[in-house]
Amino acid sequence: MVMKKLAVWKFTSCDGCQLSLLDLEDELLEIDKNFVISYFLEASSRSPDPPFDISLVEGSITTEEAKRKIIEIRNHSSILITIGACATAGGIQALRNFASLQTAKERVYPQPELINVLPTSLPISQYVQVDYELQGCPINKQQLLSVLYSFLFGFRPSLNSGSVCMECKMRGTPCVMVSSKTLCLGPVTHAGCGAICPSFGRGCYGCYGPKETPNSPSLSRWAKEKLSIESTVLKQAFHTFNCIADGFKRFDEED
Amino acid sequence: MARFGSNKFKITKRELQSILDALKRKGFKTIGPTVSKDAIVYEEIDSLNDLPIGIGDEQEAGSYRLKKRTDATLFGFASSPHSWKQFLFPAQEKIFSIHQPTEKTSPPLIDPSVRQDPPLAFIGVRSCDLQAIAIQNRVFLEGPYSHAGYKSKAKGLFILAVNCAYPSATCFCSSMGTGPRAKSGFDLLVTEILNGQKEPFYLIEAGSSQGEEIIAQIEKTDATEEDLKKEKDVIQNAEKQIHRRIETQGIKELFYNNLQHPRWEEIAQRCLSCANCTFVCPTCFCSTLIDIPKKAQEIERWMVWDSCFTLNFTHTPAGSVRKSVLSRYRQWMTHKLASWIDQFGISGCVGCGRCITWCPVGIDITEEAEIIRKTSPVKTPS
Amino acid sequence: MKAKECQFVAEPPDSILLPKAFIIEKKVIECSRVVSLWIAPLEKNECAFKPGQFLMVYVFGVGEAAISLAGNGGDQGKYFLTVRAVGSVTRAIEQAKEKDILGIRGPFGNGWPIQEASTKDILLIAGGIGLPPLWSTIPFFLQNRSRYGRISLLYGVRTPQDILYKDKLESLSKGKDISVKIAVELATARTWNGHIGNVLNLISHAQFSPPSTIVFVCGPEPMMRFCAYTLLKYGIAKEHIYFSMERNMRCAIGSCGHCQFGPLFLCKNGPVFSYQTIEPFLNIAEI
Repeated sequence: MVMKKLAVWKFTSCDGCQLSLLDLEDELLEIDKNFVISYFLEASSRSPDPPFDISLVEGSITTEEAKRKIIEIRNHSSILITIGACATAGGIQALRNFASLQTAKERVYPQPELINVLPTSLPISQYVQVDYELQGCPINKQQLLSVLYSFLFGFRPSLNSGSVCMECKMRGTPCVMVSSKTLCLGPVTHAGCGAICPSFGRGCYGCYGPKETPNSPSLSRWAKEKLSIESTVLKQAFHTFNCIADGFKRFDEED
Repeated sequence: MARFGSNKFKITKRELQSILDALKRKGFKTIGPTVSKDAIVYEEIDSLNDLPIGIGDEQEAGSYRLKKRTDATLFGFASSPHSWKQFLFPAQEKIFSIHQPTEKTSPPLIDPSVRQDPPLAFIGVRSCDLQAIAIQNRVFLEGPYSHAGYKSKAKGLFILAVNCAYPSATCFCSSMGTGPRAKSGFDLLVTEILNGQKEPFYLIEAGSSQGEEIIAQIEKTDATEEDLKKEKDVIQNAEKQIHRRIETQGIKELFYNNLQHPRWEEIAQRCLSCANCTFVCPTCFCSTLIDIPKKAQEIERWMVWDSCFTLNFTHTPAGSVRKSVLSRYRQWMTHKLASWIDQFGISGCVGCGRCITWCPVGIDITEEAEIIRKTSPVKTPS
Repeated sequence: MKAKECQFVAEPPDSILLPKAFIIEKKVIECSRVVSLWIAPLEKNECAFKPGQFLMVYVFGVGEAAISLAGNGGDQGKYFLTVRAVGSVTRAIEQAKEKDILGIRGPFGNGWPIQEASTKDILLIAGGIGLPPLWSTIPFFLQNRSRYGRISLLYGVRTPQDILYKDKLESLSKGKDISVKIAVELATARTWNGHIGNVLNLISHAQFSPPSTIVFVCGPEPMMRFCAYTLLKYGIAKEHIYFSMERNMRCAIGSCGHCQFGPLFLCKNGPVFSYQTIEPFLNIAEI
């Protein structure tokens, strides 16, 4: 088996998704048997040494420099995989896409002219071709392992894209929305986390982003009419880590 | 059934507990209802004190609440978010591990999972769920191939059934012919009868030789005429509390003739395709096989629950066959109420109402069936 | 106090879900993205197959795919498959090399109704990658040729490069037993010597008597549907037209629910169905 060269890159993000790779602990030794970790700033100060077989990219694009860098990474990588909500959906920092960057700068910084950023935070796929997107905030490390092994064999992984509700029911957690009036984004959220939050009595936060064909307007309508959830609360629920993703950006039928 | 139908006995909670103890001594894993996280779920129980004593439920479309009762009933509630299928057909089960030698030309080593399933005893099974188990027996065990995992777990299954006394608003077993009175498929059948200020007492009958064997071991008295009358009242009262219904006459033709009814579009506006209904349904049986890599050379193949509501479910090289949520909801409902009859000779729906209660947006299968019947352009005899 | 787990039921493993190891004895590239494989079991394989059945082919690390059987691999217990790379698993199969090991389950399915074809004229109509499942019937017809009437194989492809089994087809056309006609949709007189156009146009050139003709069709679903309309116009009965349908296939043993088409399970009731059986559902979108 030929060793594959792996590089891990970070843009605007919290580092949590890269950390998932290190969180693999024992399984990292297995990874080491098949991959040469050529560049991974969080783990080693080794300089990048292109070309790469697989590049894992975390974080969204928010500066001109990042735009240039991602294109360079794309050119040097056979496979480019985006990991986490920032890279796949723009992250929570994409909230600035809804507002005026100039106003925000002026409110926060004494010398706003020194802050040189793009007015938007956008996912990697808006700038370069992406070969696979692993959703999550943070990503599920077992899914990362699955994805790495799949590409090791040279094939696209096929992870489940059903709802968080499916995972909740599989572990036997009674629905928090139905048994107490807790707002839960589970029915419109992509599976992957194992439905952790509802098992603690909290509604799903939508960390993994929208599932396929999400029906957020229907969920919103029910939340407002039957669970007495206010519009502001609903907005706060949908506009988090995946705020600009289709299905979460516009979640109300009035939009 | 005629063999065991007539001998009814009267026992107290103490004798019921001794039945539970006898089952445990025989090595059964006893599973029954218990309160957990604001709901009544099915888990392993040790004693009758684990049951939801004096607890009832209030269910409506998209809503489930527990409530305190003014008595000490053990079975004062209706259906649970759990069904018994999770024990016979678990949500996730490993089929085999496969180890690939580094040489691709050497055969991989397959290590199949060896089953070690202790015999199960279900305590407190309602009539609707008895029918659901019978349906899944037919689905998984009757030819051409049987589901080995299900077969292993269903072997030696002991069922202590309970006649429903307090159906919820979402129950509709009577119109589906599956309750509230349990008719068959149990080893023991119990009816809980309120007794004023005292603890409830229980009428018990055997439904199999295994059940007879257990009854023979406990202290009991013969049920009196008065006791039998009280039991009859309990059942009749239960029947009166059931308001939802599905008209089943000609239902197969009704759905086959209405695959393009405009109502599907209306439902699709509301349906979240979240798959909750399929996972709480006691008869839904769909699964998928997935490969989980453990190491670069080692993979585990698992069978996990799957739902016709996912886009991937009908994936083909030309794309998914059922792309729209409309087509997926239509598939579920027509399969459940119509195609199932062609496939297995009986309806797939037992009227437990779980899909109505646990739908996050309260879509009601009984309401939709009625609307389609009333507005069907093709008249179906009813 | 938990119940003593002293009693347990040890069952034999679900052998029907365990793949058996087969080695790729020979591989031939048919055309772009399409390969043919001859595979042999590592351990004795008793499974004879019926034409029209399929196998579940497992590639380590990638997954399983349903592949129609195109023939026996020369000997009892061996198989001949033709695979087009359209997804992860089929691409992995396409890229496999001779001596690689594949996992095989099956054969599954009902197969073509060969017995019903007795004394009748037979039309075998194949569209593109639909040829291999029909090809599996040829040895059965040739073995007892006198039992059947006139047999025609009508095969349609998009371009001349897409023609599969060129040698086999040529050799078959030389014989008198089966009439072979090929239609190419995208071609000019320079690139293709024979019929240019849709495979359905070949029907009028075939020799058959509609009241006693049976038809086996395999190809993309729209092609099969139009084929049926054409055949009905010729007066062939609905119950004598057979399709091989395709849906998502997982367990292949009737328990996972993926392959359902209306009330029919493709794995245990099909994949071959008469037009009469499937007509009510065939024209409903997304059924």
